[in-house]
Amino acid sequence: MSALKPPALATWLLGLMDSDAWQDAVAGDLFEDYQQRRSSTWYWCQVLMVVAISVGKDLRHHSVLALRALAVAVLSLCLAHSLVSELGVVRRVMHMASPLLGWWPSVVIVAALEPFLICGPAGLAVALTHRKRGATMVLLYVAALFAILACLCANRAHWTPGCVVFWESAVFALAGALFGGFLGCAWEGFSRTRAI
Amino acid sequence: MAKREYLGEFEFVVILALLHLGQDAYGVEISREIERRCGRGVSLGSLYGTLERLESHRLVSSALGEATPERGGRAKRYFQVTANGLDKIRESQRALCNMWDGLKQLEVMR
Repeated sequence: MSALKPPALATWLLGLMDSDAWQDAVAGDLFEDYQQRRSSTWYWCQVLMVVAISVGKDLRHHSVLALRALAVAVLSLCLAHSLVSELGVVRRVMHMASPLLGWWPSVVIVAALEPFLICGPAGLAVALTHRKRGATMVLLYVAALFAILACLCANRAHWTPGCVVFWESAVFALAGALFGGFLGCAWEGFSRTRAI
Repeated sequence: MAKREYLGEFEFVVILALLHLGQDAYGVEISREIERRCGRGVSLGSLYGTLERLESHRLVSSALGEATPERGGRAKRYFQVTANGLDKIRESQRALCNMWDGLKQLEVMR
Protein backbone atom coordinates (compact mmCIF):
# COMPACT_ATOMS: atom_id res chain seq x y z
CA MET A 1 0.00 0.00 0.00
CA SER A 2 1.43 3.39 -0.94
CA ALA A 3 1.97 5.99 1.78
CA LEU A 4 -0.75 8.60 2.24
CA LYS A 5 0.57 12.10 1.56
CA PRO A 6 -0.05 14.64 4.34
CA PRO A 7 -1.23 18.17 3.43
CA ALA A 8 1.53 19.61 1.23
CA LEU A 9 1.18 23.21 2.46
CA ALA A 10 1.61 22.15 6.09
CA THR A 11 4.67 20.04 5.21
CA TRP A 12 6.13 22.99 3.28
CA LEU A 13 5.54 25.29 6.26
CA LEU A 14 7.28 22.77 8.53
CA GLY A 15 10.23 22.60 6.14
CA LEU A 16 10.63 26.39 6.27
CA MET A 17 11.23 26.49 9.99
CA ASP A 18 14.68 25.00 10.26
CA SER A 19 16.91 22.72 8.24
CA ASP A 20 18.63 20.78 11.02
CA ALA A 21 18.26 17.08 11.73
CA TRP A 22 15.78 17.69 14.57
CA GLN A 23 13.26 19.17 12.18
CA ASP A 24 13.79 16.25 9.80
CA ALA A 25 13.03 13.80 12.62
CA VAL A 26 9.89 15.75 13.57
CA ALA A 27 8.73 15.76 9.93
CA GLY A 28 9.37 11.99 9.72
CA ASP A 29 7.46 11.32 12.95
CA LEU A 30 4.52 13.41 11.77
CA PHE A 31 4.52 11.57 8.43
CA GLU A 32 4.60 8.18 10.18
CA ASP A 33 1.84 9.06 12.65
CA TYR A 34 -0.27 10.57 9.85
CA GLN A 35 -0.38 7.16 8.10
CA GLN A 36 -2.38 5.83 11.06
CA ARG A 37 -4.46 8.85 12.05
CA ARG A 38 -5.24 10.04 8.49
CA SER A 39 -6.59 13.36 9.71
CA SER A 40 -5.52 16.55 7.99
CA THR A 41 -6.81 18.60 10.92
CA TRP A 42 -4.61 16.62 13.33
CA TYR A 43 -1.62 17.09 11.00
CA TRP A 44 -2.20 20.83 10.69
CA CYS A 45 -2.56 21.20 14.49
CA GLN A 46 0.69 19.31 15.05
CA VAL A 47 2.54 21.38 12.43
CA LEU A 48 1.24 24.66 13.88
CA MET A 49 2.31 23.52 17.35
CA VAL A 50 5.81 22.65 16.08
CA VAL A 51 6.00 26.02 14.29
CA ALA A 52 4.83 27.93 17.40
CA ILE A 53 7.37 26.15 19.64
CA SER A 54 10.15 26.61 17.10
CA VAL A 55 9.36 30.34 16.71
CA GLY A 56 9.26 30.78 20.50
CA LYS A 57 12.62 29.02 20.87
CA ASP A 58 14.21 31.06 18.07
CA LEU A 59 12.96 34.36 19.51
CA ARG A 60 14.26 33.44 22.98
CA HIS A 61 17.70 32.49 21.66
CA HIS A 62 18.02 35.21 18.99
CA SER A 63 16.46 38.32 20.50
CA VAL A 64 18.95 40.64 18.75
CA LEU A 65 18.06 39.09 15.39
CA ALA A 66 14.38 39.65 16.21
CA LEU A 67 15.02 43.36 16.86
CA ARG A 68 17.02 43.56 13.64
CA ALA A 69 14.15 41.91 11.74
CA LEU A 70 11.70 44.51 13.08
CA ALA A 71 14.11 47.32 12.14
CA VAL A 72 14.48 45.89 8.61
CA ALA A 73 10.69 45.65 8.36
CA VAL A 74 10.16 49.28 9.43
CA LEU A 75 12.84 50.56 7.03
CA SER A 76 11.46 48.48 4.15
CA LEU A 77 7.91 49.65 4.89
CA CYS A 78 9.05 53.30 4.78
CA LEU A 79 11.00 52.72 1.57
CA ALA A 80 8.16 50.82 -0.13
CA HIS A 81 5.65 53.47 0.97
CA SER A 82 7.79 56.27 -0.52
CA LEU A 83 8.32 54.31 -3.75
CA VAL A 84 4.63 53.49 -4.17
CA SER A 85 3.68 57.13 -3.54
CA GLU A 86 6.52 58.50 -5.69
CA LEU A 87 5.90 56.26 -8.69
CA GLY A 88 2.16 56.84 -8.42
CA VAL A 89 1.39 53.18 -9.27
CA VAL A 90 -1.81 53.19 -7.27
CA ARG A 91 -2.97 56.53 -8.65
CA ARG A 92 -2.44 55.20 -12.18
CA VAL A 93 -4.41 52.02 -11.46
CA MET A 94 -7.22 54.11 -10.00
CA HIS A 95 -7.13 56.41 -13.02
CA MET A 96 -7.32 53.44 -15.42
CA ALA A 97 -9.91 51.48 -13.47
CA SER A 98 -12.42 54.20 -12.61
CA PRO A 99 -13.83 54.77 -16.14
CA LEU A 100 -14.21 51.01 -16.63
CA LEU A 101 -15.45 49.92 -13.20
CA GLY A 102 -16.75 53.09 -11.63
CA TRP A 103 -15.43 55.07 -8.71
CA TRP A 104 -16.38 52.75 -5.80
CA PRO A 105 -14.90 49.46 -7.21
CA SER A 106 -11.69 51.26 -8.12
CA VAL A 107 -11.40 52.55 -4.54
CA VAL A 108 -11.81 48.95 -3.34
CA ILE A 109 -9.07 47.75 -5.73
CA VAL A 110 -6.71 50.52 -4.67
CA ALA A 111 -7.38 49.85 -0.98
CA ALA A 112 -6.26 46.27 -1.57
CA LEU A 113 -3.36 46.98 -3.91
CA GLU A 114 -1.56 49.74 -2.01
CA PRO A 115 -1.05 47.94 1.35
CA PHE A 116 -0.19 44.72 -0.50
CA LEU A 117 2.53 46.53 -2.48
CA ILE A 118 3.91 48.20 0.65
CA CYS A 119 3.86 45.27 3.10
CA GLY A 120 4.86 42.54 0.60
CA PRO A 121 8.38 43.84 -0.16
CA ALA A 122 9.00 44.39 3.56
CA GLY A 123 8.21 40.70 4.21
CA LEU A 124 10.52 39.74 1.34
CA ALA A 125 13.31 41.90 2.78
CA VAL A 126 12.91 40.37 6.25
CA ALA A 127 13.05 36.82 4.83
CA LEU A 128 16.06 37.49 2.61
CA THR A 129 18.09 39.25 5.31
CA HIS A 130 17.56 36.50 7.89
CA ARG A 131 18.21 33.39 5.80
CA LYS A 132 18.04 30.36 8.16
CA ARG A 133 15.77 32.17 10.66
CA GLY A 134 13.78 33.82 7.83
CA ALA A 135 10.47 32.07 8.51
CA THR A 136 10.61 32.90 12.23
CA MET A 137 11.38 36.55 11.54
CA VAL A 138 8.65 36.77 8.88
CA LEU A 139 6.12 35.40 11.40
CA LEU A 140 7.36 37.93 13.95
CA TYR A 141 6.92 40.75 11.41
CA VAL A 142 3.42 39.53 10.50
CA ALA A 143 2.50 39.23 14.20
CA ALA A 144 3.74 42.78 14.90
CA LEU A 145 1.84 44.09 11.86
CA PHE A 146 -1.28 42.20 12.97
CA ALA A 147 -1.04 43.70 16.48
CA ILE A 148 -0.74 47.25 15.09
CA LEU A 149 -3.57 46.75 12.58
CA ALA A 150 -5.80 45.11 15.20
CA CYS A 151 -5.35 48.16 17.46
CA LEU A 152 -6.18 50.50 14.58
CA CYS A 153 -9.17 48.39 13.47
CA ALA A 154 -10.53 48.20 17.03
CA ASN A 155 -10.90 51.98 16.96
CA ARG A 156 -12.85 51.80 13.70
CA ALA A 157 -15.36 49.07 14.51
CA HIS A 158 -18.29 50.58 12.58
CA TRP A 159 -20.06 49.42 9.43
CA THR A 160 -19.35 52.65 7.53
CA PRO A 161 -17.86 52.42 4.02
CA GLY A 162 -14.66 54.11 5.22
CA CYS A 163 -14.16 51.48 7.93
CA VAL A 164 -14.86 48.59 5.58
CA VAL A 165 -12.23 49.93 3.18
CA PHE A 166 -9.82 50.30 6.11
CA TRP A 167 -10.39 46.66 7.19
CA GLU A 168 -9.90 45.56 3.60
CA SER A 169 -6.56 47.42 3.54
CA ALA A 170 -5.56 45.73 6.82
CA VAL A 171 -6.39 42.25 5.47
CA PHE A 172 -4.44 42.87 2.26
CA ALA A 173 -1.52 44.33 4.24
CA LEU A 174 -1.29 41.06 6.21
CA ALA A 175 -1.75 38.98 3.06
CA GLY A 176 1.02 40.97 1.35
CA ALA A 177 3.35 40.56 4.34
CA LEU A 178 2.76 36.79 4.40
CA PHE A 179 3.05 36.45 0.63
CA GLY A 180 6.26 38.50 0.42
CA GLY A 181 7.76 36.80 3.47
CA PHE A 182 7.06 33.25 2.38
CA LEU A 183 8.15 34.04 -1.18
CA GLY A 184 11.49 35.11 0.31
CA CYS A 185 11.66 31.94 2.45
CA ALA A 186 10.85 29.77 -0.57
CA TRP A 187 13.54 31.55 -2.58
CA GLU A 188 16.07 31.02 0.23
CA GLY A 189 15.12 27.33 0.46
CA PHE A 190 15.45 26.98 -3.31
CA SER A 191 18.92 28.62 -3.40
CA ARG A 192 20.06 26.50 -0.43
CA THR A 193 18.93 23.30 -2.20
CA ARG A 194 20.64 24.40 -5.41
CA ALA A 195 23.88 25.12 -3.52
CA ILE A 196 23.85 21.58 -2.03
CA MET B 1 17.89 34.24 37.57
CA ALA B 2 18.94 30.96 39.26
CA LYS B 3 19.31 27.94 36.97
CA ARG B 4 16.46 25.47 37.39
CA GLU B 5 17.76 22.31 39.11
CA TYR B 6 14.63 20.18 39.31
CA LEU B 7 12.70 18.25 36.65
CA GLY B 8 9.32 19.50 35.52
CA GLU B 9 6.38 17.07 35.50
CA PHE B 10 6.44 16.56 31.73
CA GLU B 11 10.24 16.15 31.70
CA PHE B 12 9.82 13.49 34.39
CA VAL B 13 7.19 11.67 32.29
CA VAL B 14 9.35 11.85 29.14
CA ILE B 15 12.44 10.41 30.86
CA LEU B 16 10.36 7.57 32.34
CA ALA B 17 8.90 6.83 28.90
CA LEU B 18 12.45 6.68 27.47
CA LEU B 19 13.44 4.21 30.19
CA HIS B 20 10.38 2.03 29.45
CA LEU B 21 11.10 2.00 25.70
CA GLY B 22 14.84 1.31 25.94
CA GLN B 23 16.45 1.08 22.49
CA ASP B 24 13.25 1.84 20.57
CA ALA B 25 12.67 5.37 21.87
CA TYR B 26 11.93 7.80 19.06
CA GLY B 27 9.29 10.54 18.67
CA VAL B 28 6.19 8.54 17.66
CA GLU B 29 6.90 5.66 20.07
CA ILE B 30 7.57 8.03 22.99
CA SER B 31 4.30 9.91 22.42
CA ARG B 32 2.39 6.57 22.15
CA GLU B 33 4.03 5.25 25.33
CA ILE B 34 3.01 8.38 27.24
CA GLU B 35 -0.52 8.12 25.82
CA ARG B 36 -0.72 4.43 26.77
CA ARG B 37 0.57 4.84 30.32
CA CYS B 38 -0.71 8.30 31.30
CA GLY B 39 -3.83 8.43 29.10
CA ARG B 40 -2.92 11.86 27.79
CA GLY B 41 -2.25 12.90 24.21
CA VAL B 42 1.09 14.54 23.55
CA SER B 43 1.86 16.86 20.65
CA LEU B 44 5.11 16.07 18.88
CA GLY B 45 6.05 19.76 19.02
CA SER B 46 5.99 19.90 22.82
CA LEU B 47 7.63 16.46 23.05
CA TYR B 48 10.55 17.54 20.86
CA GLY B 49 10.78 20.87 22.70
CA THR B 50 11.19 18.94 25.96
CA LEU B 51 13.64 16.42 24.48
CA GLU B 52 15.76 19.23 23.05
CA ARG B 53 15.85 20.94 26.47
CA LEU B 54 16.75 17.67 28.22
CA GLU B 55 19.51 17.07 25.69
CA SER B 56 20.91 20.57 26.21
CA HIS B 57 21.08 19.77 29.96
CA ARG B 58 22.84 16.47 29.08
CA LEU B 59 20.10 14.36 30.70
CA VAL B 60 19.28 12.70 27.38
CA SER B 61 21.37 11.88 24.32
CA SER B 62 20.19 11.26 20.77
CA ALA B 63 21.43 9.59 17.60
CA LEU B 64 20.08 9.54 14.05
CA GLY B 65 18.69 6.21 12.86
CA GLU B 66 17.75 4.90 9.45
CA ALA B 67 15.50 6.63 6.93
CA THR B 68 12.51 4.49 5.95
CA PRO B 69 9.82 4.84 3.24
CA GLU B 70 6.99 4.79 5.83
CA ARG B 71 8.49 8.00 7.20
CA GLY B 72 8.66 9.68 3.79
CA GLY B 73 12.40 8.91 3.56
CA ARG B 74 13.27 10.75 6.76
CA ALA B 75 15.51 9.44 9.51
CA LYS B 76 14.40 8.54 13.03
CA ARG B 77 16.08 10.20 16.00
CA TYR B 78 16.56 7.74 18.85
CA PHE B 79 16.84 8.99 22.42
CA GLN B 80 18.54 7.50 25.47
CA VAL B 81 18.73 8.59 29.08
CA THR B 82 22.30 9.47 30.12
CA ALA B 83 23.95 8.65 33.47
CA ASN B 84 23.24 12.26 34.50
CA GLY B 85 19.60 11.77 33.55
CA LEU B 86 19.38 8.58 35.66
CA ASP B 87 20.87 10.41 38.67
CA LYS B 88 18.41 13.25 38.21
CA ILE B 89 15.39 10.94 37.95
CA ARG B 90 16.48 9.01 41.07
CA GLU B 91 16.87 12.31 42.92
CA SER B 92 13.38 13.38 41.83
CA GLN B 93 11.96 9.97 42.82
CA ARG B 94 13.48 10.28 46.31
CA ALA B 95 12.12 13.81 46.70
CA LEU B 96 8.64 12.75 45.57
CA CYS B 97 8.65 9.66 47.84
CA ASN B 98 9.64 11.84 50.79
CA MET B 99 6.72 14.13 50.03
CA TRP B 100 4.39 11.15 49.64
CA ASP B 101 5.37 9.40 52.89
CA GLY B 102 2.95 9.67 55.77
CA LEU B 103 0.04 11.03 53.73
CA LYS B 104 -2.85 8.91 54.97
CA GLN B 105 -5.33 10.45 52.51
CA LEU B 106 -3.33 8.99 49.59
CA GLU B 107 -2.66 5.52 50.97
CA VAL B 108 -5.57 3.88 49.11
CA MET B 109 -4.25 5.19 45.79
CA ARG B 110 -0.77 3.70 46.28
